[in-house]
Amino acid sequence: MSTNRSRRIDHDTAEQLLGGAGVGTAVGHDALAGLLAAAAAPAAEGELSGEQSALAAFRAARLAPVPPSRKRSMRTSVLARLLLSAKAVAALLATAVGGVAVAAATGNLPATLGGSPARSGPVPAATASAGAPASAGAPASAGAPGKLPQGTVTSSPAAVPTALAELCRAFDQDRGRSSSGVLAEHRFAELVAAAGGQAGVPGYCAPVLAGHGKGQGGSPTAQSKGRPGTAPTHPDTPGASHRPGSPGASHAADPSTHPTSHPSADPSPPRKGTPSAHPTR
Amino acid sequence: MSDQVRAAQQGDEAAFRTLFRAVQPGLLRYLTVLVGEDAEDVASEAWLQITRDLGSFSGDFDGFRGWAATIGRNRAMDLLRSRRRQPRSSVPVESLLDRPSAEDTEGAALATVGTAEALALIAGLSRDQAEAVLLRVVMELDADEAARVLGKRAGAVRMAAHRGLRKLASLLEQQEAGRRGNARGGGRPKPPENNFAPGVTPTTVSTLKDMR
Repeated sequence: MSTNRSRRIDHDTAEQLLGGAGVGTAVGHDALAGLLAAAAAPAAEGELSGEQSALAAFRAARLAPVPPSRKRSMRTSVLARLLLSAKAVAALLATAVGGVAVAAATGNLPATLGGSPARSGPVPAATASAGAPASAGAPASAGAPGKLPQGTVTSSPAAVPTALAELCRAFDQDRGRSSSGVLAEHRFAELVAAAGGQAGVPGYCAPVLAGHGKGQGGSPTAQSKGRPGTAPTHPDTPGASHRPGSPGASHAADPSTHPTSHPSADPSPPRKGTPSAHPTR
Repeated sequence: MSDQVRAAQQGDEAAFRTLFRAVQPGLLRYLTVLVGEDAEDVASEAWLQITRDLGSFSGDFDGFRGWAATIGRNRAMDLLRSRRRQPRSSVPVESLLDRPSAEDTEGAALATVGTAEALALIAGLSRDQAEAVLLRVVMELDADEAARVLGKRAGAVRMAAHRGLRKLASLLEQQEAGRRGNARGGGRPKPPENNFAPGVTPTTVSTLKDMR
């Protein structure tokens, strides 16, 4: 009899009781409602005895907010790295592709690559591969967190051309004053190394300075100056060592290994390189 | 209260105190049923972690209660694992009933006795039923939040809570019948005798096995 009554608690009644319904709302279950109310009764004094230590812990955590801030900064840094790597890869692709294009356009490619001009390279190959890796490589690396380390690595070579371009400009300015000793200065060591010797610096800087003369200043010139930098700076590594995991790397490297300095290639590759660089920046 | 959560996250100590006072009693009661007399230690460990990770918490006050319950439960499970001890024994009841005697104010003692008796009865349920009832009633979580804490489906938690209520009702009746019959001394709820209502699974031991 009594067990029957206790089992009469249906779904709705149970939910009412569990939801904190007071005594009387669940008709016929006053004892149970009272029990639950007692279990959820307001705090007794002894139950808050840990308040001071909890407050002390709160103060300590606030004074040394390492874990929360670290978590937050980790989250942001992961995001930053992701963005950075996407940017860096895109910039590198643009640099590699555009650099070849500009180098080809200025006729500088064969000389800076140190090889004889191989004119057998098919022209369409340059334009086709110029577009494809820039669009395929960047999102792929952005979506794959596993490639983060590679992405951060690529950011440094992407920065080098800009620095070299600065050096080129500095070299150009200083050259007027004291011609020979300038390149011996320590600050030009990188530029000299990149150009393969002091004698190569003027030729190496020629496209940069030519672009500088025409450029309006600011980032566009820096970009256009950066591009010719990469291909000659790391003649052996445009794709292989910098972006080992990127599928577009080998494609991006192709144009540089098959120099396409065919005159008909001149108008299209620079135009291809520039738009691909801007949306990603 | 959700504003208090946000304020505490900004470092507002008064807001944190408000949160503590709102959450701690329920947390302590829940943990008492889980680990007995070690509940206060476990609770303070939980609060230590709460203060440390408060910055990374995101949610309102309901979420905060569930989060606190999860942290407290994890610490309790750590303790139970490390001590290889039965999660529920007669200890919680005793410790709860002993505590009010150490206190002075009669009102508080009376309230605690009522609360202690209620918790002692709930502690007589199987583990999953007791947890489901406590999270819903004492921690004031809804079925979804309680399910998150327990890592189960909301339906399963709801079912466990309903079964727990039915068993509690039958225990209450037994208690009342016992009192009317041969007036046992002390007024303490006797540990549940194993004459459970038919259809309810009174398998305390097997639920312990389930936990492992």
